[in-house]
Amino acid sequence: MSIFKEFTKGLWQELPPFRLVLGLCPVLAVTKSATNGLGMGLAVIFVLTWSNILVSALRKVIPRKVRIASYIVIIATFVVIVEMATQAFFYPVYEALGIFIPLIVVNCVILGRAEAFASKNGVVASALDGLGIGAGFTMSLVVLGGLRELIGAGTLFDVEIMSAAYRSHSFSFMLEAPGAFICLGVLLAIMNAVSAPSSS
Amino acid sequence: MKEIIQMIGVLSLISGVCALALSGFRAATAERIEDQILQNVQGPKVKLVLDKADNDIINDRKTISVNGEDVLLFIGKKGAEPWAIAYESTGGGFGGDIKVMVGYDIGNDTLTGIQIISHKETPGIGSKIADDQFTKFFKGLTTSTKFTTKPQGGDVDAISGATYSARGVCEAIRNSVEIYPQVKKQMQSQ
Amino acid sequence: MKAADLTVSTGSHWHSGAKITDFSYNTLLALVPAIAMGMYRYGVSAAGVIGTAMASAMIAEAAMQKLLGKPVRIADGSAAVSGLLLALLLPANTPAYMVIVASVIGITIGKLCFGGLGANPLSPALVGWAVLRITKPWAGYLDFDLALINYDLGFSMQYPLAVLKASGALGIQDFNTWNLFLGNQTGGIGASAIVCVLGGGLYMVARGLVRWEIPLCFLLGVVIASSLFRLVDSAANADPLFHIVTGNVMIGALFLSTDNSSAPINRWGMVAFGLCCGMMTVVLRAWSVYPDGVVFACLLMSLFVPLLDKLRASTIVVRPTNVQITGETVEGGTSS
Repeated sequence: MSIFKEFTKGLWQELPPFRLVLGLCPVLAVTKSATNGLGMGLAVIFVLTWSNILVSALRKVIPRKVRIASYIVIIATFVVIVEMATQAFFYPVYEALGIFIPLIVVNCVILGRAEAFASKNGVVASALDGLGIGAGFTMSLVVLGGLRELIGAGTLFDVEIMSAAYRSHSFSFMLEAPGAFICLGVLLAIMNAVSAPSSS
Repeated sequence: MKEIIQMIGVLSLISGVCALALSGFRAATAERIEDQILQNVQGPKVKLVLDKADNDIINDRKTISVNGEDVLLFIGKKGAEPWAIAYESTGGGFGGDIKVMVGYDIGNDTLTGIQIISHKETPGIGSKIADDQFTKFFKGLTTSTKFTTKPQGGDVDAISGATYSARGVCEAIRNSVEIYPQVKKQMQSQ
Repeated sequence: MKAADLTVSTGSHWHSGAKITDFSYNTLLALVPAIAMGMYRYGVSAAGVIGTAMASAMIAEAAMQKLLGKPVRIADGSAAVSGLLLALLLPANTPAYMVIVASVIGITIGKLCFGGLGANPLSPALVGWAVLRITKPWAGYLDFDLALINYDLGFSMQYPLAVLKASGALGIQDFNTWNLFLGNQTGGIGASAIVCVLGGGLYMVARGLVRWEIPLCFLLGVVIASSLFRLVDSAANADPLFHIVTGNVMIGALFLSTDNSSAPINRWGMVAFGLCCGMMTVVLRAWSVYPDGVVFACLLMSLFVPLLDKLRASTIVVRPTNVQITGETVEGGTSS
């Protein structure tokens, strides 16, 4: 497998929320708007790439028995860095994402990649893997957030898309928690339907 | 034995390096974070309280010490002259502390207005204290006004159903007015 | 040769001698008086809501079944019943787009995504209604006082449950229980015609298409819970009879909670289900932000149905005399 493939696999074959169905908590909770989805996605890309690099670099040093603890320490460090950075430079995003930035620590996509990929592969491959999976995660969040924002509020990235008449009577069900589940379910169904022939 | 030592050593080392990195990053961003919170949380309220000021109020702030406690003071200027000051104070409401930003015109010792920074009152009932309808009442009152609700013998209209919340706001204003002479003196002496 | 029409499904199999089509068409028949009353009261707009809901439900069902590659079975009438029940809960001048969204989501997400008739854990009509209820910009259309503001039908045009919520037992003194029972109250197109709904329900029970346990226990649950509330604070809570003859309780007890696949199949399960639905209704009426709680109570309790189905009398196990009985228990038996 070429090294480039490590990057592209995260965009479709192993697209985290839809193909691996991992890390659904932030996926459902923060995707009230495309902007929030993008902010969350970028935070995850940063944490995922750097934790993958570090875990991969230290994979021969870290004893097997304490590896999970070590990964968590590394991941938590980057999460706190992201939290402080968003607070310092993107305060509105920090307010919108709230508790979900600290909760990136327990996002199973990140620990999953550290355990399943970075601890077994080289630094470059791990970095590309982190970037790819992170990009896929971001893409999913933006698509889901964009869809929910468009139907639920009539805007996209806070730009008013729908007519004023629609926006004042928008189908805000999509912004509620049940709307998130239904939207995710429908997207999953579409993805499975699209890729069904190739997988059989 | 050797394995255990290695485990402890590696984990401690990783934790230590991470902690060091974090404290470094924290030191680098602390000032900016504080500034951002001021701009985004208190800033909009301060600007409402000192609405006639034409300077950058958030930048023209200083910390002074009154009775051994630090007070973060926002100074509103008209032209180059300080015109009004605002600082935060706290009173006990129904659901928890109510934080109120009170602004003073230092020329004639009147209130330029108040804004509720944060409160934990019941939504729909006690939360009315943050509405304009309630807060605009305080605009232009002198510092010698009796800041207690009318049922308690003061000058402030209570909100029906939200007696405790209105009292909490009054308490915060009283606390604020109490230190006002000292604050004003310190500000002018600097 | 036509293939035998044997659909194997999980869900309720309380044999009443009727086919699914019989059940659906009898439900439609039983609801005719309520529909008639609604149309008499609210005129063409009520007919429009009912027609839109039924048509969109059937179209959605047919389209979804085609999409999923399943045989199209709209002729069994179950989609029509779902659409009709949804319409009967809504105010007469609900905009068409709201009706369509509710019935399409109810049928596609609430029913066919779970495998279609017999496999749906929640009643499609209730899913559709709940979607509308939690969509905040549309809340005004579901608030009966606001929605029916242009109607004057010769009785108090205030929604009784909203009055109860706003001013307690004192406010509802003006409502005459008998008048409310006769359907002289605002509310859903058909749900407010209490006596017609009761008549239709009794027909269903008499035909054996609806088991009597759930409706009876539903009403009993309402009585128990409202009596308890009244015991604690008689100024804020209404008497049990008022609760029974207002809002969606009657249609809820007889038609909504008895939806075939989202109700338990054993007698004790039904009893517990009905009681809990009724009590939860009163609890929601007293403490939730919405005036009526029937739909959310039914939805909530439907989620407990897999557990309630385990409540059953122990099966009689006939032990063959010449077979060695080992320590194994017979599946589904000897639980008590």
